[in-house]
Parts: sequence; C-alpha cells; structure tokens
Amino acid sequence: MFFLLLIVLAALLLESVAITLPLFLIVVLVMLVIFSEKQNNLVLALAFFGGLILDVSAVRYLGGTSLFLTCWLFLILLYERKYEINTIPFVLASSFFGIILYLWFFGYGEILIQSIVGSIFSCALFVIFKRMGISYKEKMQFNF
Amino acid sequence: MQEEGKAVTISYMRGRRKFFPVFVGFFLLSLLIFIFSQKGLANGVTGVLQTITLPIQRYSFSFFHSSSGGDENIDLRMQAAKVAALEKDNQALRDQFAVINPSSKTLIPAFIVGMPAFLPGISIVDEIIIDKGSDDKIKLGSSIVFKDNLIGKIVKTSPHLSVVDLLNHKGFSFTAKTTATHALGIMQGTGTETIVLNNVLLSDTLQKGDIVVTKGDINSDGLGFPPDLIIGKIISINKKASALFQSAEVERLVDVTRLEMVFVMMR
Repeated sequence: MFFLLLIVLAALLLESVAITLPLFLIVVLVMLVIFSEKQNNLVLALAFFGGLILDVSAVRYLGGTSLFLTCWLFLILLYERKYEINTIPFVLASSFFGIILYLWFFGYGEILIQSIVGSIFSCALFVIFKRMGISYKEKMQFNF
Repeated sequence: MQEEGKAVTISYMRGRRKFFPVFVGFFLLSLLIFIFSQKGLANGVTGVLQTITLPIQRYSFSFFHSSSGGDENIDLRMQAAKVAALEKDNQALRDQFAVINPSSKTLIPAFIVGMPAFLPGISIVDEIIIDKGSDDKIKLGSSIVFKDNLIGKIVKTSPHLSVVDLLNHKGFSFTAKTTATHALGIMQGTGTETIVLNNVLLSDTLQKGDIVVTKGDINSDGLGFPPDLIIGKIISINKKASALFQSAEVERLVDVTRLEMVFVMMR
C-alpha cells in the first residue's frame, strides 16, 4: 500500500512540474487492471482527485483531467466483460490509445513518441506490480 | 473452500453493481466542475487548492531542477540546494534591479514552478509555469523578462499560477529589428531550440552575430512587448535572390532551463 501511494505521489509530482508524459494516467490504468474487480471504485476516486490536483498545478480548467480519466477507466472496465484485461497486450494497447487521446485532448506535442514510451512504461509497471504480489483475480481463480 | 469461493463471487458481483453508479457520480461531478471552471465560477476553489499545492510544487520543482544525481547525503544535498537557490534568487534580483530597461518599478519577480518537457533536460522546453497569477494582477499577454532579455508572454492565468509561452513556442510571433543594421522582420517560434526572423526585405542587411531586439508593439491596454528587449543573436542567414524575403535563424542568449526566477512586466 505504501509503495502504491509512493508511486501515485511521484507520478503526480513529476507530471505537475517536470514531465509531459501522462504518468498518473499510466499508474491509475495499471492499478485498475491489477485490482479490477475489487478496488475499481477506489481507483476511480483516485483518478478523480488526482485529476483535480493535476488540473490545479498545470493551470487547466478544473475537472478536465478527472473527466478524461474517469471516462477512460470506465471504457476499460467495459472491456473487462469481453476480454481478459489482466494481460500485457491489453495494458499496452489501452495505455497507448489512452496516452494518444490524453496528449491530443490537452494539446501536447510529440504525441506518437510519448505514447510509445508511455505504453512501454505501463507494461513495465504492470509486470512490477504483478511480481510484487498476485492480483485479486488470481486469488479468485485459485479459490474456484 | 467452496463457500469461500461463493463469497468471493458474491462480493465480485456486488463490486460490479456498485461500479456504475460510482462512475456516474464522478463523471457528473467532474463535468459540473469543468463547466463551472470554464465559466470562471470555480476560481475560488482553484485558488484555495493552489494555495495548498503551490508550496509542494515549488519545492519539488527546485528539487528536480537542482538535483544532479550522485550519492551524497540527501539532507545535505537538499540544504545545499536551498542555499544555492537563495543565492541565485538574490543575485537574480540584484541583477534585474541594476538593469535600466525595463524599469524595475514595473516588474514582479516570479518563481518558475513547472517546466514540462517530454524528457526533462533533453527535450525542448517551450512553456513554463510561474507562481504568480490573476490574484497578483497578472494579465494575459504580459511580457516575461530576465534582465533585459525577453523570455516569453503569459498565455493562461489562474489565481496563483500562470502559463508562459517561451519565444520558441510554435505559433509565437511578434515584430523585431536588428540592432546593427535596423532590419525589420517578424520573429516566429518554430517549436525547436532556435527561433526565426522572417519576412525581412531583401534590401535590408542581415549580419551573422547581430543582436535582435523587440520593435515594440504595446497595445492600448498596455499589453505586448516594449521596445529594445533582447531576443537573441543571429547564427545563420537564409537569403535567396529569387525569394521575396530573407530570413535568419536566431539563438536565444538566455538558457531558460537554467533559470529559477523570471520577472513579469506590469503596465
């Protein structure tokens, strides 16, 4: 939990002062995929409040980032019924398209290269999260 | 074991059922805040939130900005960074107030609290965030200077923060002249490290190494660039006899990525 909090804070700080890569989007997306069934409401709340902080520090209209993040996470959860989202290809694709839309929506440049780097980073984070402890879904499969 | 599995399934189904209303709640709340913010009705809330986040943002920016790696003691490094930052600020203030143009009476010192770039230290920076906003009477279009060098202009304000487009920002343009030959042209940001002096008449003379300054285009509201602020130095000239105009590539004299403080010109 402490590690997760640290990662969320680091992503928020870096994104608000030094980097245009949407680190917070990557972190909440990977958290949603890892903890999907049980903690999705918590991840949504985190996306909402984190989005407000990013809007405040990047001088954007308040609520814009929260709106984008909640909608994107909702779309991902809709796919949960059709596909296995707890996989590297899904994380890669969803972060790639999510970052493209995010950068386009907020008017940043170097969209393609940032999306490629961001999606690779999200996969790395996903693998780290998985190795640190089994996700809720795996526990559930074990019980069945 | 089976009972445990059933319990998990039930909680899983409940989690799904609960998810949609939570999403709708956050979605509507975000939308409402967004609309209020666009209409300018959320400035109070933004101001309060910025009062909380600004010190953290300022501190983390100076930490990221001054950290250069190495394995020294972190506390000592942070203290040294603080002292160095204070010395830099004092020096910047002393230097700025020693400059005659622009007059120090019209300047407000502002700390840089954000310098977003794809890869910090490697990618080109064309925008910065400063810790002064509409509560400090900062207006859109105000010039940002460092000593007698033009840095950029304010393009977005909020109660305690403002966004500054730097001279190399794509789409940034204004009139300029050269100091030695008095050639007139239009400075244009290209999104790269250098800027371009365009639309210079073929009959005018451009010289490599000549300093380019603002021509001055202050409007009736007092906004715009005052004359004779330094933009940079000509590093290459593009002149073709068949073309209507000639152009020159200009290098800025101030490296914005090394700055921690700039000055907002007030009118």
